[in-house]
Amino acid sequence: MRKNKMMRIASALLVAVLLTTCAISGTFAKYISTASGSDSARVAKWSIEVEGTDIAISPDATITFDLFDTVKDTEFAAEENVTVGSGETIIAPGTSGSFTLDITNTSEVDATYTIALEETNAGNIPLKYSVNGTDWVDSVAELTMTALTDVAIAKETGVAEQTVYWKWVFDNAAVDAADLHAGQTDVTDTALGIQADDATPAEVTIKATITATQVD
Amino acid sequence: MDNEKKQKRGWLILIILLLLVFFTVTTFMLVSRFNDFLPDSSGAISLIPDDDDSDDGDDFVAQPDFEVSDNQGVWSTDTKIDIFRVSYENGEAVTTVKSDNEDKIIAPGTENSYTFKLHNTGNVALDYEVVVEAYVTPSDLKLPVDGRMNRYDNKWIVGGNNKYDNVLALNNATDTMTLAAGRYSSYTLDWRWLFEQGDDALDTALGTRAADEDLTLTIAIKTTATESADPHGGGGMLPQTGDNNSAIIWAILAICSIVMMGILIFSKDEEEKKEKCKK
Repeated sequence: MRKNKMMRIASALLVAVLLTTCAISGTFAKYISTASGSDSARVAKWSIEVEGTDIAISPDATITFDLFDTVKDTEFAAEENVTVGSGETIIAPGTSGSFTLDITNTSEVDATYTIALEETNAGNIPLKYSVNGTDWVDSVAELTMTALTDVAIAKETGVAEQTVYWKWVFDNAAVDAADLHAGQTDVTDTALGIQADDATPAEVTIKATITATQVD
Repeated sequence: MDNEKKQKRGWLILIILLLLVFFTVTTFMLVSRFNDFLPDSSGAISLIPDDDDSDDGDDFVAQPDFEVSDNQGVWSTDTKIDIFRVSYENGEAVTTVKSDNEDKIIAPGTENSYTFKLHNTGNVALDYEVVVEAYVTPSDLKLPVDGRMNRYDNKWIVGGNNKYDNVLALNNATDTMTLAAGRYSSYTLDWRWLFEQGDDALDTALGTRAADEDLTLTIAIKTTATESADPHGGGGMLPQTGDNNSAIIWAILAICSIVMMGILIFSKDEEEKKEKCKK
C-alpha cells in the first residue's frame, strides 16, 4: 500500500513537471516569418540538320554528295547529246547540273551556317559555279567566300535550301569572255575529251563541309 | 528480500525528491514569465518583457510584421520568381534565344538580373536571414554560368563589383541584418552565360545534350525574420514617399501659376475701376 502511494506521488509529480515544462516553452514563443522563392531553367537545345544528319553532334560535319548526279545541258534542260556511261557520271562541254543542301535549325537559338566547298580538279576541267544560276565564278573557293559564309538560319523552324550549280560552257564563241572559264578554249576542251579516252581520264570531286554557329 | 525492498523504496524516494525539485524550479520559472506579461493599468499586455517596474501607463505594444516582394508581387512559400526567362534579346532588340515550349532556358550569351525586397512592415526591429540555394540537375553537370549577389548598400554576398563567381557559389550564400521598423532592404542577383567563355566545345556539347535530356539550373532563396532583441534598433532604407520628378521644376511652375493668377486678378480689378469711372 505504501509503495503504491509513493508510485502514485511519483507519477503525479512526473506529469506535473512535464506540464510546467511545456508551458514554459510556450511563453518563450517569438514571432517568426518565412518566405521563399525559386526558379529553374534548362539549357537551350542546339540541333542543326543537313540532309537529315544532325551536324551539331560533330561541329564541322562533312557531307559527301555527288554534284554531278544530275547532268543537264547548259540551259539546265535534259541532256540529249551526251551519253551517260554505265556506273559512271560523265560531264562534257555543254553539260550542267545542280545539287541542293537542305539545312534545318531546330535549336532554340538563332544560328548561321557556312558551307566550305572543296574541289579536287587535277585535270583543270573548266567548270563554273553559282548559287543562283546567274552569277558564275570559276572556283568553289570563290563561291564559299561570297555566298556561302555566315548565312542566317532562324531558330525553332528555320529551314534553308542551298543550291550549288555547275556548268561546262559549250560554245566559247557564243558567250562573252566573262562567262567563259579562265583559260578555257576549244583546244583545252578537246584535249580533255581525248584524255577521257585514256585509262586516266580527268575527274573532279566536290566535298562540302558545313559549320553552324550560334548567333549572339 | 527486505534489503531489496528497502533499496527499491530508496530509489523511489530519490526519484520523488528529484521530481519535486524539477517541479519547483519549472513552476518558479513559469510564474516569473507570467509576471512579465501581466496587464498594465491600461489593460494592455506587452508581447515583450516589460523591465520597467514603474507603471507609466504607456507601454509599447509590439506588432511585428515582415514582407518579401519583387516587381511581380509579394512572396509566400516557394513562390515562383523570375530569375530566368523564356526568351532573350540581343543588343539590337532581336530575340535570338527562345524556348520552344515555354520552359525557361539559358544559353550562351544570355544573362539576367533579379531584385527582391525585404520590408519590415511592423513596429519593432526584426533580425532577418537570407539563404540562397543553387544546384544543377544532373548533379555532375558542369555549367559555365556565372553569378553574383549584392545588397542595397553594396555589400557583396557573392562575387564583386567587377567579379563573377561560378553560379554554384551562390549555394548556401547567407546574409543577415537587423531591419528597423518601417525600413526595407533589397538584394540583386545577377547571372550570365558568356557568349565567348573560351570553351565552345563545352557549350556545343551542352546544347547537343540538351536536345535529348533536361539539363537544369535551379536557384532558391529563403528568408526568415524574427523579433530583434532591441525593438528600436536596426537599419535599412527608408521607404520612398514621393516620386523621382524634379521638385524644382514643379516649384517654378507653381510660382508662374501664382504670378499669372495675380496678373489676371489685378488686370480685372483695373478694368472694373475704369468702367466705374466712366459711369
